[in-house]
Amino acid sequence: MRRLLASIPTLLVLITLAFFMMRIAPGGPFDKERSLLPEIEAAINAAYHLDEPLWQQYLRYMGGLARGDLGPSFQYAGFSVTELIAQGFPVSLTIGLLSMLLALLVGGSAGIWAAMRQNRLGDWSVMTLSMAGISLPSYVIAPLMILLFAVTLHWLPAGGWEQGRYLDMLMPVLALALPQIAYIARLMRGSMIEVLRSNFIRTARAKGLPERQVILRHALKPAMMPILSFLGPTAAGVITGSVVIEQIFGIPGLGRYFVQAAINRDYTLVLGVVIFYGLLIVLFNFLVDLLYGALDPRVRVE
Amino acid sequence: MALLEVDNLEISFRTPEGELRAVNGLSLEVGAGEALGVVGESGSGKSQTAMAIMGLLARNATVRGRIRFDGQDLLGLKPAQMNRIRGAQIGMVFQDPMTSLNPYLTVGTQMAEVLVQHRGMNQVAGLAESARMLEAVRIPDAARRLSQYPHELSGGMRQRVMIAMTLLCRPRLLIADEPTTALDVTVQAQILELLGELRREFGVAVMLITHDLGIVGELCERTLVMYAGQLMESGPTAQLLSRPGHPYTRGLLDSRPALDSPLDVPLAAIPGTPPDLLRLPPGCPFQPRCPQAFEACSRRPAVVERPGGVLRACHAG
Ligand SMILES: Nc1ncnc2c1ncn2[C@@H]1O[C@H](COP(=O)(O)OP(=O)(O)OP(=O)(O)O)[C@@H](O)[C@H]1O
Ligand SMILES: [Mg+2]
Repeated sequence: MRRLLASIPTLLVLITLAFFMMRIAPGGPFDKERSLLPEIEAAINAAYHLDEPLWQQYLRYMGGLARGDLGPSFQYAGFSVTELIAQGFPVSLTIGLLSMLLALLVGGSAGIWAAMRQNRLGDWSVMTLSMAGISLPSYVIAPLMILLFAVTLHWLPAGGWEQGRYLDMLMPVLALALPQIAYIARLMRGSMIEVLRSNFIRTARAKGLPERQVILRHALKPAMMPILSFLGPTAAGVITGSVVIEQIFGIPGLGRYFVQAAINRDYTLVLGVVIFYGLLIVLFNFLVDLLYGALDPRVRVE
Repeated sequence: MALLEVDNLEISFRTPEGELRAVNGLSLEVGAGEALGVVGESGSGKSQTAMAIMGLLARNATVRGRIRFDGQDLLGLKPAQMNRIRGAQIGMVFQDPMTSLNPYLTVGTQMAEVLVQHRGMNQVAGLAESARMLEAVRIPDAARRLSQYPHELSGGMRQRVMIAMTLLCRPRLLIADEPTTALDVTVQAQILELLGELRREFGVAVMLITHDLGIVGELCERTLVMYAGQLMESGPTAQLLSRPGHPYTRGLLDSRPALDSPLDVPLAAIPGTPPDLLRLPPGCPFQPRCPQAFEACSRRPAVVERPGGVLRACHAG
């Protein structure tokens, strides 16, 4: 709990920085409408308080924030930022959680499998594959997948998002998961090899336990620790939506809102998403700490 | 037929620098209920000999020779068969009690799983039996200890737990690899005393590995002195301690702290260092450090039986 409170100043600094950096960048939210009459532009600016001095806008924004109000979107007239986030987040969350789950299961198992075959052919193949997985960015993988599964084989829709259509999720989830699978596999292999060298594993073997039990009961928990600390920030990033993946597959998630908001100088929406993202990181790190305590009795006691 | 028979054991490791020959033609026997001390300086191959018996050598190891336990050839066993012997018929206690127990599991979980594995007990029966065994190693308040984690116990207590854990299935052989080295002097004495008592109570044979000749005197009727993975001398402990025949045994005895000597007096360690196991000389491995070395010592001495049940590998007699 103290950790959660301690993160409030960090969040405040983040918000302040984001607020002023947005304003320093050239351009404004209504630049596109070139033919705007000066009076109309002035009226719009007044309506959104863009005519006030910057410090006053900042205070106004922070005041709203204190009441939980993220303000109106400049781009999507009639929508508040909170409403937009509430619309986009569930979509990103679904895809993100599914892909993290997939990454943990597949990457984790592959890492353990490789560790048990250290420096032999199986290990070597897993590590080569995962190296490829890490170095191939999703903006390369995603179009290739579309080309193969949608355009050539006609197995899956090329993109789009209709409520509850699982086929729509398949490719984005896979594309999002692949680099994570690769990363987790490497992480798991390294930490598992490290754990398997420890004295208590030697004891477990000396007790005559079968290898499966040595791994699952004695080695898995300690080997999970480095993965947990990787998972906290990564999961926060993934479930807030991958900008690239959502753009390529045409998914109406938070990530896509974020890009469009940034391009259009939708100040409040960008800030809102940044704050939301910051909150999630804090939350996930907190969850990871809780998990640490649940897994490691030595942490629990402190 | 002895309980454990090790015959001409050779262990070598593939390393980037070449073949490291840790054990070179070692033979030994441990009879049922007997206690054998295995003594030697660091690197003389004591632990690797034990690991070979347990079938736990590192993957870069090659073993040759024969290890027979209760008439069964251990080196020929499949992993699943070896798992039925390890922890059930042969138990092993390690040097470092602080790291030898799993920090993530309770004492009870770690103990009971041995009985579940080898005796097919259920968890409840396993825990009850574990509590009884904790009492047998003189741990007070045994039931409460079962739900504790290793970090909540002292080093001496953890080593008691380790010993209790290896005794759960009433093994016929207990290998203790420097079980007291990491502990306080007073705790050391307690653990050794406990081992002696348990040995009588359970009728278990003990192979006690140590580099301190003083320790074997209290527990082991026979002692084997090894150097560079070879037998130097073995025989009744009393005989080796009072009339050491091998210059190396004598060197070890001289480098022992006398019981009444102050702790800060440096020991008269044997001058020189053990040989490079990557480039073992063909002769007696102790020759370069031996005060009695002569020409013959550039050939490897045979192990010869002497009066009083002593085996010795030395050209000087
Ligand atoms: N996996 C391995 N690869 C290479 N060399 C090894 C390996 N394991 C052990 N050795 C070497 O084998 C030799 C014998 O080691 P061993 O552990 O048996 O010594 P020891 O007599 O138990 O010594 P200590 O008193 O220090 O425990 C040492 O030189 C050690 O470095
Ligand atoms: Mg050792």
